[in-house]
Amino acid sequence: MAGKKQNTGTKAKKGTAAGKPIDMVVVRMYRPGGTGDFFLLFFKQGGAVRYKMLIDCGCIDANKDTFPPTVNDLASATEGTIDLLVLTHEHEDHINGFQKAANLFKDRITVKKVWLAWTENLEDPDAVRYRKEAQKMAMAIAEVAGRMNGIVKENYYRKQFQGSPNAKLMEDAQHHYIRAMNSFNNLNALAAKGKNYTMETFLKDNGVIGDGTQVRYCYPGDTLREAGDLPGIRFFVLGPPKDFESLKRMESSKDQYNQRQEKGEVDFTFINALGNADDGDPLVRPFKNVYAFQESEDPAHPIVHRYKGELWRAIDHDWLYTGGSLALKYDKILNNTSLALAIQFDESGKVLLFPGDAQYGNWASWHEGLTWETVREGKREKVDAADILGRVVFYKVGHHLADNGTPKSVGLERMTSPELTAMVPLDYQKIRKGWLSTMPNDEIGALLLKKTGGKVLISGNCAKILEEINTNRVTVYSGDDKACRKQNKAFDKKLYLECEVEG
Amino acid sequence: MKKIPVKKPPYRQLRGYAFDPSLSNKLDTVGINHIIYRVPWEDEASDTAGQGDENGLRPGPVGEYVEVIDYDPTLEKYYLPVDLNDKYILAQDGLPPSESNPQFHQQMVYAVVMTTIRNFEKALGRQITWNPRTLSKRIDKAYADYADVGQKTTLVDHYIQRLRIYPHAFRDANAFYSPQKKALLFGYFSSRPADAALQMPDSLIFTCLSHDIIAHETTHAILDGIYRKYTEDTNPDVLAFHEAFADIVALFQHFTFPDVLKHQIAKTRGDLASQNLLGQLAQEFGSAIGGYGALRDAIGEVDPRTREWKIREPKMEDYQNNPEPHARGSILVAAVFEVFLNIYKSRVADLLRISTGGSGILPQGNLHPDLVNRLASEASKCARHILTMCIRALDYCPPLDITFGDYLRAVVTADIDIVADDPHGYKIAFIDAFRRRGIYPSGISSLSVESLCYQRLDETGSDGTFDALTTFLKEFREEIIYLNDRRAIFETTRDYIAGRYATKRKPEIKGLHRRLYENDLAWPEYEKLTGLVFGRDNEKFGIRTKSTYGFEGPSFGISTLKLASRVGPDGNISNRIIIALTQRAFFKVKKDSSGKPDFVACKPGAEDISLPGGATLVFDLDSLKLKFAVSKPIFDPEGLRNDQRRLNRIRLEKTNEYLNDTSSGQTLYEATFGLGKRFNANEPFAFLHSK
Repeated sequence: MAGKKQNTGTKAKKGTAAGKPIDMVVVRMYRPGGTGDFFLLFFKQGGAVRYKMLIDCGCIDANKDTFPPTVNDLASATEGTIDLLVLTHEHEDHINGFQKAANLFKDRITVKKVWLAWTENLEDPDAVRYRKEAQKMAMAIAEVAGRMNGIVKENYYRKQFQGSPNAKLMEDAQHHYIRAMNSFNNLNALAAKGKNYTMETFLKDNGVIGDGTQVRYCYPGDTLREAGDLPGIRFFVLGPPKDFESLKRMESSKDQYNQRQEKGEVDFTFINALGNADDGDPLVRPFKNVYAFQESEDPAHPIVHRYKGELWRAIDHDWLYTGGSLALKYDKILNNTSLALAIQFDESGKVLLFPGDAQYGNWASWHEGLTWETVREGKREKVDAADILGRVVFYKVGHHLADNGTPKSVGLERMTSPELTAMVPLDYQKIRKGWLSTMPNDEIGALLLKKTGGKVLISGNCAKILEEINTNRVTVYSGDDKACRKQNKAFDKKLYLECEVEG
Repeated sequence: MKKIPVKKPPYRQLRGYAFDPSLSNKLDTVGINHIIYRVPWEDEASDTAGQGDENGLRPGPVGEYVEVIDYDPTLEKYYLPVDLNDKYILAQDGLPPSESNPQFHQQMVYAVVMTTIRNFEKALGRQITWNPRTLSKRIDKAYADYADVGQKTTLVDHYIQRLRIYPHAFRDANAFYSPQKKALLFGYFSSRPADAALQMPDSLIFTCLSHDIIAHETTHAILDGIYRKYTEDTNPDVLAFHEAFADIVALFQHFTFPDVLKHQIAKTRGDLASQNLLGQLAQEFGSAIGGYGALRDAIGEVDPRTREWKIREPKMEDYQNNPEPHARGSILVAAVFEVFLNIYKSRVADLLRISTGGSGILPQGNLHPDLVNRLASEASKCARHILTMCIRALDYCPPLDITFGDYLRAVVTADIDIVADDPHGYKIAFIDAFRRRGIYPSGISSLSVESLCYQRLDETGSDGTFDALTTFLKEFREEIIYLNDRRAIFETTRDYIAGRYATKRKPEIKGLHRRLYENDLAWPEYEKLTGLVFGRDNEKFGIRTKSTYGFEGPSFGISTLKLASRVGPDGNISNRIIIALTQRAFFKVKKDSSGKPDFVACKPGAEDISLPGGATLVFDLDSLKLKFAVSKPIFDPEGLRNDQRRLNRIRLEKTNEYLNDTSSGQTLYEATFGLGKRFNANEPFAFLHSK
């Protein structure tokens, strides 16, 4: 292993100026004890670690005790230096480790460089436009959650359902909905802080990086090299798409495994009525004022009397429940802002794929006219996404093996390498209840097992996840199943799982 | 001054959209998009200005069946209610269609809801009532021995006079019926994506202006009033049936307007014979507003190569492979639509031959307007027949846990019961369309009309077993037959089920529930008939013991008691009394060594699953004889035929498997925000329509 903390980087730079290319990447998937992404990559040359890269650090529903074991291990394993930090997108289960374990990061780990998606670049007008809309949605979700919590506090539903034989259950159902709404709202902690609150600010606020840390915004089509530090390695930036509409393309009816939902647009009439967006949009009124009146203007009006007479039939708050579909849509849009990276060994052309939680629109956009510069057999060449996917030997499975994280023809079907290995950050110890029905997706899981011959590493309980994958409508070969169990067993009770990818 | 009294008009004419406003913006459809709805006349209420509640129509509109309350909670504002009795409004058949006038919106929902109600009442041969509001009530000590011993409260059904309608309830591309609030909630939303200029109300779409959406939601409400347990998600068909049935009514009601069809028939003359037009039209009706179109997906599709619309060929595995309620429902819609097309085709074959000199091949050029009129009127007549058949079948359905197969049997049985002969082959058309999609009723040997029709039971009970029941039916008939007021019918019926007690000991009316308990000796016969548990060893089968009226016995409920007097096409009158019984059996589920579930009877509250059982009994009103018995048995029917009382394992296993399958058929929205299949009492339709 390399020497002292402060000179690891500089030494490597000088030492490998004309050095040999990186010949191995070791991918370590940490197990924070629940569903979330937390990946450490060691780039090695001749067995020595040259460069350390961290992709995300998060876990759903984490508390202050969640991260210390793994983050302490991270500090030791990296000897306190992370050469490159990548944050894919701002969902809690990808970034909350930096906050929950902020002190450990501050005290024990130096981050030298950060890469973020272009959506974080406040100097980019497209990003500003995106952030404005995203923030409107996030604020609306927060507003809905806030109002709903207020309704619970004033016991509105208890009063409304009073006398009904199912009153308790009915109230519970409302509260369940409201809890789900709150957990979506918590997931969006960053956006609620304002459209200018970027992940860079977040990292700085938590002391993970300082003012001097270099931050780069990645654009689709970029080919990035760390020539001095990482000879023979290049990064292809695949997504998020620059085209704004692609971010909203969450699903495709034809090109998806077990499609559950139609694609939907975001309707701002609802958000508008919540009236808290600081964008100056006037309140949408469906009709001219002459038709409308408020209760206070004519409290004795027969229609007012009729409405007010029966609380059990009132609809004062039912409209807020549109917030549920909005939260689901916003969740997917955020997934689509994932910084999707492919890491290539130049010599062999082998690729490691880290798509974050990219959904359909993000994946599909890689195939829409983008090319990346590379060198193939000594010649400079431009390659497309199909070419890159065809060379994938390591796949960080998108969106925790959910149906919408790995599309068919623009994704998994293109991954044809016989060497393919996959890592799945999915752990039932901590997971959103609503995710249980979509994670793992049986079709993607079964296909992965087949394509990898069982080389699928799972952060959670492997037996449990395999059981969920092996449904009636898919075939899992017992050989693959056994191989998978064996591979995972080697990491039983460890803080992480590891996979060596040779260049 | 001498004055000749003017006869009350049978109808109130109200203008409205035939489709929804979006079609008014297209030049080729603007002409047909306005039609006149004819709704049953309601007199003006005497106290319109005050807050009273006398009968009659008042501003809202608030009438006999519905109350439109136009409160928009997103703005905390009311929109002024329309007064349909205003003389200027009366003189011009209601307000002119307009998106920007909320009073027209109120008129439009009123017109379509009333039209739908009218269609149901005609087909069912009785007035409809809404699902009552059930409240728990403390038991009055004076009557304690008539109530369940050991219980402090009892459930009482309260009459709901009017379905409430909120035309502008929320801002979303959705509309739903709320069984909790006994209300229809309609949303509005922006048709423009993202943040385009929202200041223009023109870009708003109102679900309360779409005929199909209003009819769809109204049907949910009416169906809930007939079978309230159809919102219980006990097998993959139940909610799918609710959705599909609502859409079938909306679709065929739409086709009963001949003017709507005329235009299209004239426009696309050649397509007519190939049936494409009507199917395409059906889908267009549904496509205007997102999610509703999904129910009509199975009718047809646009060929990606030729860009032409074509009927989708059904597959035998359609029914097997679609667990999601909308996809499953669309199969039923497509099946009924196929029936319609086939019958229409057979009905117009002669017309086409006459108009083409025998060849049946239409010449080039425009169709003769007379032919267009005749074709449109045939299509409309045909749609009305299908609509009527579909609705009246409800009285022959089980009171809970319905499957598409049960519905097919109900359609066939109802038709046999009411229509003497069937020259156009409606029944065969139904059977064929269901068969082609792999929908088979369970427990019958072949798909013939004879085996699908529930067994005729004309001779059952002739030995006097059912005398107690016959006496009851006679008394009920005498009282109910002269009642016209919906509230009086509801309350009298309720008393005839639960009993009416003036003093502690002497009931004024001895309820049917009590009579069935008292009629101790007949229980084996009742079991055979209904498949439900009436023996006193009920706890062995997971049925709770009820101590009431001084007896101990198995708990069961009476969910329906009603009259149906319908006139068949030949003028024959068929008067029936329909009774539906329900029961629930409770079990703990243990897995045996081979992993198969084992069901152990237990008390309610301790159960892992419960099995719903029920039976619908159809009696002839005149002879008081039992005509048909439709059952969702707790007992194994095969066993009962051999005098063996054993649990219906097949239903138990299926129900258990379905209730424990959380992975299929749910949307992400349901999985995230819902409490799951076992608890569906909280706005099931809001969930079904949400994404």
